[in-house]
Amino acid sequence: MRLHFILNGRYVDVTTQPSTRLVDLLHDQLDIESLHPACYGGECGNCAIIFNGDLVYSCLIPAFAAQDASIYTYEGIVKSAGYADIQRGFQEENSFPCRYCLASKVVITQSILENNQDPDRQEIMEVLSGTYCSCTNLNKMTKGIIKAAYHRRRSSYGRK
Amino acid sequence: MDDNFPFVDKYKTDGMFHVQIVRAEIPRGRIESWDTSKLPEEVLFFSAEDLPGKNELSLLSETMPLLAAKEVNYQGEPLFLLASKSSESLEEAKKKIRIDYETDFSLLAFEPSSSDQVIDRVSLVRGSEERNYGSGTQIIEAQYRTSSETHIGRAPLGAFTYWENERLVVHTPSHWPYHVRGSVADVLKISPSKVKVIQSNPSPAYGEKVFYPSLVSAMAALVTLKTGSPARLLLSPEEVERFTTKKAPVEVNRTSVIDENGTILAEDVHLRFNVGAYPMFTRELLIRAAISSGNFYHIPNINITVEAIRTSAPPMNLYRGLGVAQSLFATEVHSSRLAEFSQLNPGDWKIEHASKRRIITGSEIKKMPLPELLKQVLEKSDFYRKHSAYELTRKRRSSIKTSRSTLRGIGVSSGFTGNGFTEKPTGDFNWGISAVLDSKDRLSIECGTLNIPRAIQDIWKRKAAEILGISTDSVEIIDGDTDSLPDSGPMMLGMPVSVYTSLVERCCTYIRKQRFHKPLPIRVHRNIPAARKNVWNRESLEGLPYQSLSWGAVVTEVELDPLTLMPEVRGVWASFDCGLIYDTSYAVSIAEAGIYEALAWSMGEERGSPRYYQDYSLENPETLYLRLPPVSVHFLNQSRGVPGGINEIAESLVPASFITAMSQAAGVYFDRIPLTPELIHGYLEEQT
Amino acid sequence: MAESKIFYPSSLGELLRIYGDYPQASLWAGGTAIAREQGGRHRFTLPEIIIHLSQVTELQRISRTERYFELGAGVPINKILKVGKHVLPKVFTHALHHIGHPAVRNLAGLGGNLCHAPRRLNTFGPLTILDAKVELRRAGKSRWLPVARLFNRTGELQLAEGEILSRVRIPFESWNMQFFQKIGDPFLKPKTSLTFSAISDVRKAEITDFRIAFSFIGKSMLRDRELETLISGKRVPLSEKVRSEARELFRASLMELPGEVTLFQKQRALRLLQWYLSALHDPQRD
Repeated sequence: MRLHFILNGRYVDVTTQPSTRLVDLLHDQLDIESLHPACYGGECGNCAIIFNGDLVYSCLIPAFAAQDASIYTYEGIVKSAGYADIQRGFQEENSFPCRYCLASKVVITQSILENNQDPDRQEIMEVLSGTYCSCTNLNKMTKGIIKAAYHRRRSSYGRK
Repeated sequence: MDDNFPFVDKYKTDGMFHVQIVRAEIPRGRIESWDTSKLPEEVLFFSAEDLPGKNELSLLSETMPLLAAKEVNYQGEPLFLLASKSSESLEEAKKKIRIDYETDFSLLAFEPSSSDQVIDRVSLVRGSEERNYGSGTQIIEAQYRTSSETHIGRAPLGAFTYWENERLVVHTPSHWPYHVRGSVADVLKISPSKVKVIQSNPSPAYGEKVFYPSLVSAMAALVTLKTGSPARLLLSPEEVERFTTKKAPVEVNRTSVIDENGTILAEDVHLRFNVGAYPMFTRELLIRAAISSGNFYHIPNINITVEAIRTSAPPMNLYRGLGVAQSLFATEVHSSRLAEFSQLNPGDWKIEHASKRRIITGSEIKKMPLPELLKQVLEKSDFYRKHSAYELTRKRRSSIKTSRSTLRGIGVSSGFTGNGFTEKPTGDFNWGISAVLDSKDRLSIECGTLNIPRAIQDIWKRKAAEILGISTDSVEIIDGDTDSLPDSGPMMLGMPVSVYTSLVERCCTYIRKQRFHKPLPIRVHRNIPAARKNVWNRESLEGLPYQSLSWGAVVTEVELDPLTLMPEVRGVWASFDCGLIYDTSYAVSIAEAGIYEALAWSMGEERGSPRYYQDYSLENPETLYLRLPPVSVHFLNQSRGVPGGINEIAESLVPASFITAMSQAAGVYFDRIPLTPELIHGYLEEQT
Repeated sequence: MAESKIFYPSSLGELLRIYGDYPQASLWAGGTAIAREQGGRHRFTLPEIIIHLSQVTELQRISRTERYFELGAGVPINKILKVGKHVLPKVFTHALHHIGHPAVRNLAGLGGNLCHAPRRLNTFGPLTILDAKVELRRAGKSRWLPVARLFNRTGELQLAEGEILSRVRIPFESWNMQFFQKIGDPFLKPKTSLTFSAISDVRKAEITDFRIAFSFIGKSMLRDRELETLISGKRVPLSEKVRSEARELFRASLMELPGEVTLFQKQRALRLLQWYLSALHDPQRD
């Protein structure tokens, strides 16, 4: 079938099987290398994307469900102005995930900050509870996100 | 993202062949015949008959076929390869192959197993084998078991191969690129000089990147050889999880003889590891397990036997840690039980043993850190008070079923893990590191495996800068491939942090000595030396077995929910001595990650996923959220010594402390990992 | 294998029309339950005909009156929590909160959670005891059905041909004690997962209403009316005699569950019930 949707701000027109998982469509046909399908069951979070404004796991979505959707991945987020807040937050808390996990953690952080620029620990931990990570512990990750939120708030108020 | 070190799934090109493996559907038998007449024309088929060279890959002395020719030894074993320019057609094509098997439906089981399934055995014997003691002694017998463990979330595993200037180029996420080169050369019957291996990003990994990249590379390379075109084989996450490394399950029987004071007079320990159909690094696993089974305890008469049992399960045992976590679990749970017969609490009992400053192989540890590590965690966790209080509650409790009081327990475990192999293999294995100092006083370090963690690179740079009197900015760990980098051996068992670090030091020391005598650039290569017999005897298992040791002590406190029988971890306190550490924050992070993974294994959590907790309160049932147990990690002596691995020691000690804590909470001796609520229920029912 | 035929209706009328023409079609909203059932596989196995519901505006509506809250069957769980967390009954919001994790809740819809045929998922128990109703629509017809009757005794979904679940209506009633507990994951570990939903109203130390429901593996669901009748009208704290009688009643009900519900699970359920009975009190007095 023919699908069209917005990917990282660009219109995309692609032909695929409707039964293809969205993560595979994005990774294999559209060169979204940041996604790492690992569990195909919505458990690990390595295929996290922002889908119509919400954080979702693209392994749970069949390609046909992406018709007319708006999708943001790591590749799009790193080009946005807000990425600097996330980078800074991670660096200051020394919570940089490994290359394998980095993309999904950035996407998750971005989605948290889009919903709430002052998230508390509980809210963050709850989102991170849907991820599996062997490189860094969740406490550290949470601190990184809280710090990123701090920088995002400051940016919003025009402060550096 | 660093585009210089991509994952293997990034590689593709127009006109390339996608390759998939056709796997055995039965666990044991023979292939009688196969029919590929219904395969579409565009799909190519390869069997063992198409291999120009050897149909086997070897890891030191152990081998595994690339494609099963006749005998099938586990379900999922690779039989054939399919290749097509369209990946979509391959899944359908697999269904069109008909394979006829012959089988008598027998399996090589682990329980029970026959003696001819024992493929290797290691014994460590000290003192007398006589066990005839007089009255006043007690015999404590126990059996411990661990299940296998696997992980999702590993870096993609595959290979991308193509011809370039009459040489075969292989991109694969190998932790040992030279093994890939040699394996591909052997299978294709070409010279190794005709093969160039470029490492793609292998991390995260759990041991599978040591051997399996060689397997898939040889398969993809076969297709490239036969077609002249690029080929790519990517294992699916399911294939990686099911058919590559797992923690080998173990059954441990321990029989201890103690006197009326609780002093251990003798012990017999028998371990059986299920190593699956094609064991790898077996001897290394058995020796490490034997050493961990003795740990640091002073037992004058001990007989440890460790066996590897071949079964019809998919290959195991190349998993991270190689058997140490499983054997340390049994050792530490058992020692806590033995401590009950002395007049001391388990913490002090372990301190007493550690104060003798020896490990089971007889090696004296002059600066034994364990007493201090134990004292630290016992104090930080308030172990003594809690242990007494929980003991009292346990003894007063009539039955857990009618208990209204909180069920809590606290446990301690301690020990060491080793960095580096217990033996550098003989033969054509000159594993080493190279270094070059140029005329501008810039040092380049060449290591055969890329993906050295940042913290370890930092250690190398600082050491080099210190020895040569240059700045760390002048030290570079360079990128490369098998054309330009030396063979440094497999990246596992703490090699980068301990063994390679000492090689870097030796290279720099040589350069420093030659610097003003020889013209620059000065290039040097240093190989991992074989252990001197007076330091380590691998036959009798005497001496210092490893390059360095990482030490640890861990306390875990738990609460058992009497309604649902679900364990909750209230806290973990850990102290480690892993030698020199520059980046404490990173080290703590690694340790914490290891601790959480170990807790997940201990509790049977699916693939290490986190847990939810909820308080029982009608007024304000706490909103569901993730509540990770608080973990406190400290490092001792981090400004000195040889740097050692952290993850393995953290992972290896937690399970025993968790199980002993649970045993106190429930008033039942638990003896297996994982411990699930259902299992707890079974133990409690048995008790009543 | 032929490609699935996909429809994307944008209104309820269009949906019902298509569904009337293709009653064998599968309705797909968030699809998370199906995705989890098919987890681990590279590609989905899809039905021949699919009607994708995400663009049907009527299914995305949330409305409220003085007497009840109405939720469109396609509203994502997280949206329900955002809008209704402080208004909807706690037993229900806790059940919603226990559905997967946030990334799953952004996709999963209430309708899918209720109608999942192979097993009773989180929301079924709470909505049953809250006396919630579902609206079932087909071309030209609609009816309301109590959630408790959404499945028959053998666990079959009671939707007629061409019928869809369009809305869920939750009455506003006063319950001063509400509790929801979920153990385990029904997809990963069905044998040891269960949910416990309980609501009570205690006024002047008298239990004016008492309802509980347990769900176990597969379609096994337990709501013990006899037990509810026994406890309603009693005073708190419950006497040992009443609690003992309740235990025996419940034990008998547990024994009637199918064999796939293990003894371990039954004992867990019994213990949870015992705790709840002993914890009942008058919140206004205590």
